[in-house]
Amino acid sequence: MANHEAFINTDLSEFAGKWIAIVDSKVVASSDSPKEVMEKAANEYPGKKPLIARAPTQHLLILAAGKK
Amino acid sequence: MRLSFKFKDVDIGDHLHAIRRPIIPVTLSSAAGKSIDIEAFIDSGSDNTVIPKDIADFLELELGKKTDEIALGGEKFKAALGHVHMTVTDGRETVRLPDIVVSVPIEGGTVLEEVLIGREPFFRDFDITFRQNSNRIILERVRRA
Repeated sequence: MANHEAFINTDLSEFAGKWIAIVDSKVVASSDSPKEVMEKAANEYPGKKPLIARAPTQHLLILAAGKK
Repeated sequence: MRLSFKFKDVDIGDHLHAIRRPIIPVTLSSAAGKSIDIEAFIDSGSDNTVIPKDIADFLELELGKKTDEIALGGEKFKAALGHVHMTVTDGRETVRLPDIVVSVPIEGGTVLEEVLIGREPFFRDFDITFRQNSNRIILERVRRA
């Protein structure tokens, strides 16, 4: 849960819209590709399970139903 | 059984207050024995749970050959169905939801950039209360009907 607490409490605006990996409560990788952040975290922090997240975008999210 | 989470506050430039987004940590695991800890957006506007293709690939999900058309944010995707186990914990209580059907966009639209927890089946497993003013997302476990 420490990694989730870090996700909640950290200002992630510099990573907005990117995938990130959090290990030991710190962002250790960021990329447009979730695969890349998973690989980087696995290579640099073997034996630790990273928390993967997409850093929240800083624009309003509106659910829009598509046309039939 | 009750699980409790804080919202993720996101600063949206032109707004006076941060926007609170209901994002919770889950562990997704597959029949292939792969698992990932990932943040997921609770989206009551989604009928189903949707995961990005890259995440499905990492989990080595076996996707069905049949595809359904789904609408997401005004765009249409072709999506295949897969199965995951989902574990939710708030550090005090842990709930494992086995064999959840998920949609995986495989064609069309822009790339899905989020794990979306839709109503099926999550909202049958939990009564969910968004207490935005006290910064709490409450999940109360219920038996499926």
